[in-house]
Amino acid sequence: MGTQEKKRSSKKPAGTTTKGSKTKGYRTIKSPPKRGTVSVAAVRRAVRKVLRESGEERRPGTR
Amino acid sequence: MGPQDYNQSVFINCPFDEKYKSLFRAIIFAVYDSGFVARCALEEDDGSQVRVQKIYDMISRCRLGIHDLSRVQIDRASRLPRFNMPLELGAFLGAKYFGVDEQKNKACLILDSMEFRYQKFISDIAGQDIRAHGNDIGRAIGIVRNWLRTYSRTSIPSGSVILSRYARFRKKLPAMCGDLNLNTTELIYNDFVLLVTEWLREDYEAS
Repeated sequence: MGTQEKKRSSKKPAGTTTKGSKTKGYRTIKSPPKRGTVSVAAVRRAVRKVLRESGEERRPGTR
Repeated sequence: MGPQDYNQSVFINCPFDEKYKSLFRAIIFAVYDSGFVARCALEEDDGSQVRVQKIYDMISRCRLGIHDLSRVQIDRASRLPRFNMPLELGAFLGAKYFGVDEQKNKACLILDSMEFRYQKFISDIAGQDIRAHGNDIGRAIGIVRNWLRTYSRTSIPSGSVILSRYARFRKKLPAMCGDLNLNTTELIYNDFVLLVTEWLREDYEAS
């Protein structure tokens, strides 16, 4: 072969996840070890509702 | 339980009374905002298990421990101090000293209200990592954050950032509880932690 094929590195670039999306090189929030008396889905809805009402909700398409 | 779970678990040995609640909740928030998992006797609701056994099991599953001795003081009625916190600290230090394998890697942060107060009632712990929070939420958050940073592989927010996030969380807590038909003052530990983690995730992604 006349041209040398560029060797691909198996190492991921810094600051990327396995899906290739950028991270902030930051800690992740861990889930609590035990269940409470309310469901995770209900808590998530309540949190999002409160953030939405105060104009602090997550921007669409940023996930 | 994987090694990752063990390394990121923080045993919380603090008083559970009403007067201490604001400090307790701030410490729990700081632990989760730093990317760790708080483990505490309040999360278990199994009445068939002996309380001290439950605590020993939990200690064995946590590499890290936060022990607050600030409420070791004379009770007005009994004229005796409460000694559950020093007992659990002793169990944690014993696990580190006599335990095997990963138990040897245990590390703990000891909190008190005033610097050097511990020397009057538990002087043998001199040489450990002991910090005074002065019953101040901001100072407690900063101490916990800075200590956890030593054991974190990733960047974590500064104490002042966690404190301002905690202030925003507290402001929103009554509304979130109202939506879930929960009373803020009657909130059980597991529900509080779930609200903290879900709020932190949403807040983090929104910022």
